[in-house]
Amino acid sequence: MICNYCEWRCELGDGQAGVCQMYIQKGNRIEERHPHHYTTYVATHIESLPFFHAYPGSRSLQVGSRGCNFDCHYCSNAYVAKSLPGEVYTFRLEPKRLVDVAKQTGCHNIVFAVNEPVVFLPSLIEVAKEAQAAGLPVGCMTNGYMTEETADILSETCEFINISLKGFSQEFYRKYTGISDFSPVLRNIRKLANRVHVEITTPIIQDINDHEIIDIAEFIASVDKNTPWHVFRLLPEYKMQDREYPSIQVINKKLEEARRILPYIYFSNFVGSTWVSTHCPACGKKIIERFNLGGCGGKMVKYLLDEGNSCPDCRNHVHIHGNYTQWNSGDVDNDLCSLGC
Amino acid sequence: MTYAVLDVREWDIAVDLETGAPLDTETCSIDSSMLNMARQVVKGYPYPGDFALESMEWVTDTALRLWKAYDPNFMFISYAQPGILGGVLDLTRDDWNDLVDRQFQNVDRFIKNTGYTPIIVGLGDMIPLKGYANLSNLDGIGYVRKANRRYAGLFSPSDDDLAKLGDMPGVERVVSKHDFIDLFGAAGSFEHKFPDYLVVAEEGYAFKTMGSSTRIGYKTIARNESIPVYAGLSNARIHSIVDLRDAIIRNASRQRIALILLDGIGVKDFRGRYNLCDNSVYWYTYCQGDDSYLAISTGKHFQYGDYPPGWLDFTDDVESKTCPYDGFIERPVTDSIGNYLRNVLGVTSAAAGSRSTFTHLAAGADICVECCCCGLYNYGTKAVIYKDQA
Ligand code: SF4
Repeated sequence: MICNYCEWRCELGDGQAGVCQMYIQKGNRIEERHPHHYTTYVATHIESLPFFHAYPGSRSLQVGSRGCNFDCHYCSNAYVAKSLPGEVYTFRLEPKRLVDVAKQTGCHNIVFAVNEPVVFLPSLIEVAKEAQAAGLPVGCMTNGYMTEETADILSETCEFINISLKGFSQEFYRKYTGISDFSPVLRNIRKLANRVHVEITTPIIQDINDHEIIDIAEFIASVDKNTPWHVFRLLPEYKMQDREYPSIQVINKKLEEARRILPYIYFSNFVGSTWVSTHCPACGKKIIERFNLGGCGGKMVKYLLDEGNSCPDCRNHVHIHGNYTQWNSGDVDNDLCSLGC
Repeated sequence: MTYAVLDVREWDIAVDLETGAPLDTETCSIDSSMLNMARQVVKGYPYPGDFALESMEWVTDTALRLWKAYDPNFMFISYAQPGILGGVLDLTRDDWNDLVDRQFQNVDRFIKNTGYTPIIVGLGDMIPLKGYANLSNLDGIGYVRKANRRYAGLFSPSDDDLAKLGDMPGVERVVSKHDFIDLFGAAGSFEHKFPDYLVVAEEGYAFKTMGSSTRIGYKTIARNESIPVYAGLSNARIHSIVDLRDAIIRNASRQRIALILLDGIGVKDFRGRYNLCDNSVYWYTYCQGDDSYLAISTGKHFQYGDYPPGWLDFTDDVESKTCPYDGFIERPVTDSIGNYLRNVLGVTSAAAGSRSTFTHLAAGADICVECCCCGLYNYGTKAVIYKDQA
């Protein structure tokens, strides 16, 4: 049988796994090998995932499984994303339990953000149903290499999605991620951006994909100029651990040009970044202040937009999905109130 | 003003440590000699990364550079590598021994070059990980902070949970908040934050639950009731981990002392002579992480601090939190050893370490240089300047 979750469209024999190792054929069905098995669940700032324009300030229950359909040479989560079943410790959590944990710990949403969600989609869908019933929005981070059918499902399941657009050439994708054609990623970005809140992420490797910065910016602008774009400085990890750390100055110089194309470009993955705050595209005022302690994205320290998400100085409307949410405002079980939630 | 220089190779920024706001170093009133020294050190010595063995040389090289540039009377030096690497790498016995040898060669190199009187503390053994106690499917919330894996917090457990934990492999004991506070005598924010129950893993076990790391574990922290200490001081009376501070303070005005903390090193790996010192209080043994660093620096056992084991650290991480670059720590550690030496005795100090934020928090030295690592990812190098002479 053909697995149609992602564009590999692997042919699975009976009991045989595909590229991601996460699905097998059982009889005339394709099934997850380890449904509802996760490697981690932690409470974190939504900005650290990162989502900068969705539910700002909120507390996300970040959930991760294992496995991936890409083999990015610089993957910083390879120990879990590229692990084989049995190599990392996983625990089974039923959808209701996961949603209960989110609620009990004051989380405002659930985000699947450690490995590719398409490789455990049926589990994700069940959690999303349970979360929606409990009034918790669901988001995810994906490499975007899903089939159109999967993109349709994901758009009904997740309210906000961060899609990694890793480069802008077939050559880059072929050499550094293991897929031969990245056009499905572009197609899915267009499709999903039409239906849900989308942010884009690109890890930049100096001298390898930094010359594609403008192409990427122009593509994003062609989808929606107001799409937030997170540019990460590559950390030399996994198969690229011997590379030099990219130069902040060199990359930022290239981003300066891109900032004329897109108003919301962020640059992070290094401590102290000064490019993680949001400025009003109309008057330049810093309207959402964040800082970076290291890692992707950042943490919000000040939110100055008014209730309608307009700049307090010039009234320009800034696109934000969902409301500003205070970190400790989650409805929590009475028993847990002593936790300071 | 306390400030930090954050360096990410070819780019740096100075920030006010209390607010996190960038500093305009041209206009603000800080001592430019300290700032320039900090800048040069972090620029010249970028942290190689938690997985790089050279990070042990980095600690020594950075400490030597600080010694040459600042010539402090007291140095606080922390080597995290054996503890970190032993935990997450599948090392052979020979690999481990090489790692420990390299660790001690680096300690020797520092002492031989500088002539400081060393106090070397092995913070505890690493032992093979036997397995995990999985708290994720209880009715209540199990929570473990990554850095402290032998103690987990448990919130709102059902009777069923408590019965289950009684039989759960890998769980040594479950202690109620009431019983804990009764015995340990904690108060204030420690008591407020303390979980409803504290779950203690059996030796060799760690927890899997909310907050636990995804990394594959190989070794874990042993439950060492005593740890090895070599103190080159003639009058040192170090019976417990909390006596180290006093021994340093009594001698710091007339002797140049280097306190050297070694993660992952206990009696079985300590090279050279040592005495044993208590690493526990009642049944609690320190976990060679933030709890031991703070106990050593403040001279007080953990229950007199602000941060209980198993506490839901994320609830404190609000937008308006002071010292945002200090992670989950709520406020500066005002009773650190560096603070006392500077403000009470007028003794100069410096620190270098690969224990990330805990290097400067525990040391409180005039200038502290550390890595900026989170989840074992290397995000840069940081210098914190507590002593601003301007
Ligand atoms: S989801 Fe996995 S099995 Fe299915 S097509 Fe993609 S790589 Fe192959």
